[in-house]
Amino acid sequence: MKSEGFGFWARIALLFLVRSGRSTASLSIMMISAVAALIFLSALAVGVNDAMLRNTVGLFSGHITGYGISPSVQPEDFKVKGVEGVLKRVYIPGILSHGRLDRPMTLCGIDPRSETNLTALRKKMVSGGYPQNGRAELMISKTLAQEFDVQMGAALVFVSEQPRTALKLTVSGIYQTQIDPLRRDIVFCPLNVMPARDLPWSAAVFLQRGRAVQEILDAYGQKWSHQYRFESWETRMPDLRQLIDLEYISMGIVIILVFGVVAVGIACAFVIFILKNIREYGIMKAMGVTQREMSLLIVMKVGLMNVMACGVGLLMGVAAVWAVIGSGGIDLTAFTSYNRYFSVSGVIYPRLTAFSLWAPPVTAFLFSLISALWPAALLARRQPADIIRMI
Amino acid sequence: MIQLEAVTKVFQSGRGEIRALDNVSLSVEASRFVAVMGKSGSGKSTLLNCIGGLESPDKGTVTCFGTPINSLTARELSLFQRRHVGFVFQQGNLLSYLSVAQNIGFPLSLNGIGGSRRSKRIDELLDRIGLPAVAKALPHELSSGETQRVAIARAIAHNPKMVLADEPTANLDTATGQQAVGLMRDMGRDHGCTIILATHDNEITEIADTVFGLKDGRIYKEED
Repeated sequence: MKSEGFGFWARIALLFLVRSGRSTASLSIMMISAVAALIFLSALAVGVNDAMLRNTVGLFSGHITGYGISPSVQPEDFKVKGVEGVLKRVYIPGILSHGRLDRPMTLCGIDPRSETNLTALRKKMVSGGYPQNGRAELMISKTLAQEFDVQMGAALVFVSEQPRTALKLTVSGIYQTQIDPLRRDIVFCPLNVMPARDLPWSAAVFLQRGRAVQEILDAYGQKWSHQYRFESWETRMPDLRQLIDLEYISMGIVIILVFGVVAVGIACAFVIFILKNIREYGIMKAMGVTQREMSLLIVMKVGLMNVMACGVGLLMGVAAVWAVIGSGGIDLTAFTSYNRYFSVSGVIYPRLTAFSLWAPPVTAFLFSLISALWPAALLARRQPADIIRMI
Repeated sequence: MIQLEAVTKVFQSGRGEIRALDNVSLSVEASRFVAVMGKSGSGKSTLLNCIGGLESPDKGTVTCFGTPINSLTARELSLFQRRHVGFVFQQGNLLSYLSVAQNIGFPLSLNGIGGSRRSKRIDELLDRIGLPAVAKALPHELSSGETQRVAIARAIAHNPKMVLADEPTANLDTATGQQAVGLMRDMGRDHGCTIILATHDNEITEIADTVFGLKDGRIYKEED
């Protein structure tokens, strides 16, 4: 006669879980909270990195910078799929002076309206605003304003050799930032008051959320046959790349440690859960349940509980992430105000990735299955009479 | 026939070596109702465990219906037990998370008896033990007497060749105990099943076909 198979043992395991309600519930709560917390933690780590990148490239530079672009090419020509916007900037080196004081400086010609739409430098204004198109106006940093001892409306002179020109510009806006090049080396005026219009320009390319930089670089390579040089933020800011990598590594270590602690807790709880009913396993063994069937039953119990608990934990973790995003993120401004990687905003939005979704439940599941091995081996090794005598 | 030849079982404990069975030899004819008498610690449970393969003897052989059970592999022993052996324990030991009907149906499922055949057999056994109304009840909802009756039904459900009952009346009052043993004897007789029952209740010996007396791990009397 053929005995019952997989379905029978699954039904027995389910009955055990349902009718051991309190034990199942308390163990499930532990699993659910562990999985949910780990999903949230993983999403938060991704969110911190996103915030650093968003802050760094969003303030001014963009994700990709293109160099030496011909004046005949327009910013729209770089708008491929995945690009949110492209800013045209013309840089002229020269000397900025006020009264007897002068300093080497780069004058950057910008389109104020596009800049306002795409960059976050506007949020750093402490006086006035962006220079207006067609007006000989200048936007400078607070550091420079203090060095030159000038206020809004003051006139400064910019002199350059190439092209040979002298421009008198009125301060229309003062911004404050901790980014050194923006503090000391650059000032901004509208493109259409620049001394020369036919200079090669630089492109600041801003990508849509979640777009891979390499994907856009590849598209540019194909479109422009490598006519222009493009650099990603990773090349321009290796320190940020490294910081993000370090952040991932340290967060990974933290998550593994948390996994470890949680997994040991889950494993111990599962061992207790199984051993609590060890006498009944002895009874079953006496009734002729084979070692293989016994192991299958234990794995089924652990597996079914894990599937249920991990599923609920996954949903709760995702719900927690959405709740935080919905409530406007986690504002760490008070702790990040002096950090240049959070120069625009200290708000963190946790982000779910495939890794943060599968790693916690899968790890919890695997550790639980491993934890079932010891009781299963114990039951397999012991004779039924020994098991029945145990409790 | 069940045969034990020179079976010895020794346990090591904090109190030193305990010789639970000491060179025990006996034979039991098929379809007999056998009582094993003895005081607590005389080796009755160990004897039943060795016969049913719940533990293996240190020395000697146990042969049940031509099968030398202490030389079977673990899997072969399990398959032998599920097909040919039924156990009744002192406290009933029903599986707590299965209903009465599911407990009785468990050995049937193990033996591949499913569907309407299983349901019919469960109903038949519930009627026989006088508990048709408790099919869906859980073990903790039963009295001790009811638990033991369900345990007897479970032990006999798959028509095993032998039922081993280890002090099944120990937790019951005299009347309920006698009812349970009577039920076991009758059901065993109906199916031609050999029943070996460990007890220290003298009244049970009166209805047994054979009585073995056990003291300090040795058989000291055998009465038919």
